[in-house]
Amino acid sequence: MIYALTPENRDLYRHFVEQQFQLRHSIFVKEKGWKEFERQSVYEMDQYDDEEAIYLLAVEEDRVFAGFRLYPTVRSHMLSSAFPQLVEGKIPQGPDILEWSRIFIVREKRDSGVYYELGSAMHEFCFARNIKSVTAVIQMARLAVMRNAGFAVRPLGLPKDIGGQPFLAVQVAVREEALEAVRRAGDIQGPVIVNDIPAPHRP
Amino acid sequence: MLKSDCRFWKTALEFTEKCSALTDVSEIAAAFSGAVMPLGFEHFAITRDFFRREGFSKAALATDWPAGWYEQYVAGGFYAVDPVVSRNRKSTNPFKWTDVLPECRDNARASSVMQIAASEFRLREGVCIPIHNLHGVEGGVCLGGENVDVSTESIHFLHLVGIFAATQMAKAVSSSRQELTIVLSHREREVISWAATGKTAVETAACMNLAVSTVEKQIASAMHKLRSRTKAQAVAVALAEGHISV
Repeated sequence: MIYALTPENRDLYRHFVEQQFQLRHSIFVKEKGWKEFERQSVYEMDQYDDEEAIYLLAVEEDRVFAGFRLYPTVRSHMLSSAFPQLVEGKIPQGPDILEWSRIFIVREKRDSGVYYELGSAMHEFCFARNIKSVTAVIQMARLAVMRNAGFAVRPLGLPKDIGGQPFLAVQVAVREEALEAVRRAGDIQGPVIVNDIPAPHRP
Repeated sequence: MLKSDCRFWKTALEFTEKCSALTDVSEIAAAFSGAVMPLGFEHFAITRDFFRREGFSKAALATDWPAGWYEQYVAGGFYAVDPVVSRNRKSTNPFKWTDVLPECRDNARASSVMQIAASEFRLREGVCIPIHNLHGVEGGVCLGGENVDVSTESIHFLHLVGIFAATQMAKAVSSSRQELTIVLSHREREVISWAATGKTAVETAACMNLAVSTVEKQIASAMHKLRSRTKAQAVAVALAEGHISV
């Protein structure tokens, strides 16, 4: 089951957020070597883990084991501040576009269908919040996986090498048929988000 | 900061949009060869299931290889010893055929596959793009030609369009039984199109700025793929099956 943690309900799930930063540390810092995001030797965090960040976390017996982050593109975000060179033309930004990042699955669960559950959760959440698309920076090796899973992926530029690996900026349209395809690929019967998604606060 | 070469990006954008709407393997293959031909890539093979040991014709989705090369590759069991295939199984990122040459030095069979491709079928240089699933490499896109652009930009472009072509083909065949689709190459389609307008091989050679012998070879290869005994029959089959239009 997947919990949607938004700025409006995050206080209810503080322990999941904390676990997430620890898991991200073991995956992104220890496995992938992203040293610059290490915090207090046990967490992985960056400047976008702020009060506006949304987390979708997969939980089993009170333990987080997978998840991802969504972040408003109307603010400065990864694609606009760190990777604008990956985008040809204008960077897609707007109240109905979120940035999709920090997708992680603990090692023991990577062979299971968790990837599809996360993909379903992304679509479900976006439908609930009237989000039309998400942007993301992905490793090229992920592109075929996303296409095969049924995501409506559009490239935003040509791939470029970052740290010796080819990366691509993509925009993923949130569509009913894409959600159906991802559910079929993962043999998922219905909604995966278990909590109520709160309405967004308006400043 | 200077952004990408506009030509590459424009072609990639057009191809990825067009490709995502196609549902037929031959159509996807034709669009793909049209997108990569300007870079000198005359032939390709798209393979889905790399780990099938039954051989190339069971593992591949589509190819436009010259007729003689395909037959020789299958009959000679080249798939099992092709160093490009074995490198692809272990690769995360695209690589050039010349990158595998050092591995061929003490492997006579691997080395002969590369030599026959280069000397007899003008497949001198190429690029291979591994296609991944959740567990690792699952297939690949292999492209080659006589005089090809293997610059970093070109390889990035091929990486993007290659993944779109391969995944779209996989989707197209997922509902039907997997069967290798052999399509006409870009050049073969061109010579047959000229033949359809009544041009002789000599006239076609002048139009395409090629040697007459090259045109004749392309026609022979197209006839073979279209299972035709004459040029006229090949034109008729190509029109009927939608390989060319007038």
